[in-house]
Amino acid sequence: MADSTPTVIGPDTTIKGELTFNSKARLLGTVEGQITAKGDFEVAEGANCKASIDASKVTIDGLVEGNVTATDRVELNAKAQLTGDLTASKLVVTEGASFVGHCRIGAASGNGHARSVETKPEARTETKAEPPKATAAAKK
Amino acid sequence: MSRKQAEPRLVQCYLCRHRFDISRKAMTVSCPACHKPLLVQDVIVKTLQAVKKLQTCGTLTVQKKGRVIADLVEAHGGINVSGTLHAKVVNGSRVRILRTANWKGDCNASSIQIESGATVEGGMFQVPDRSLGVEDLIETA
Repeated sequence: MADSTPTVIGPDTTIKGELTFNSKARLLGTVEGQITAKGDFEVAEGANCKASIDASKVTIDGLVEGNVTATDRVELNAKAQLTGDLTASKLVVTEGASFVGHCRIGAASGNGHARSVETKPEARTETKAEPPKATAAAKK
Repeated sequence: MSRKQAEPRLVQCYLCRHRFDISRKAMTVSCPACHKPLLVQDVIVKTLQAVKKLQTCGTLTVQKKGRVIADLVEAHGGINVSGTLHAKVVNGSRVRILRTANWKGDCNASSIQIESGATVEGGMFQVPDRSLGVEDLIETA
């Protein structure tokens, strides 16, 4: 039930401080500080977010100034403006998005959560499958 | 009968950022502003290419099995990466990092498109890069 109704911060709202969401959240207003969301977090068009964001999935349409960390994926849509470092398992950037910062995407992102997420299954199975075959053949 | 002339192609010099028209069939030209020879061909990388600099006024395509390891990659026609690219990239137009791509290095470009599944192993991204804009181009008489 909690997933179906996201928390919405309205366009005429300004919040300073630390925000924690247990499910989906959508930002239409202004936030300064730190945001942690267990579910998806969306920064809508016209929203202003001067905060670091830590969530499972982050979708950006507005302005974000701060580091973004996602365990699953980050989506920068055409009108997104992100200034800050980005760490995620998957990244989708639509043409027209603005992004200034360091970027670490995929299994090599170094994100503790990201390591458990399969981003490139083909590549991983190749590297993992080879050593056991060699050892099994040597024992025989 | 007069032969129909092909429309000229607009290119940007990767040395001085001057923009000028060339013939569509041209493979190399000299920049009218800095008088340096330029490569204007499209570059397609199918295997390993380890070089210091990879510069062209055309497009750079790194295919799925292609690997580019360089200090600097500059392709003002656009860059499409399906394989591996380890370099500092400067690009006046669009950079496309496709789902099979492995990217490592900085990126200064006008616009970027990253597909889901691509691996980006760090690097400073500046998109759009104002220093590559029209206002900074060298004006010639």
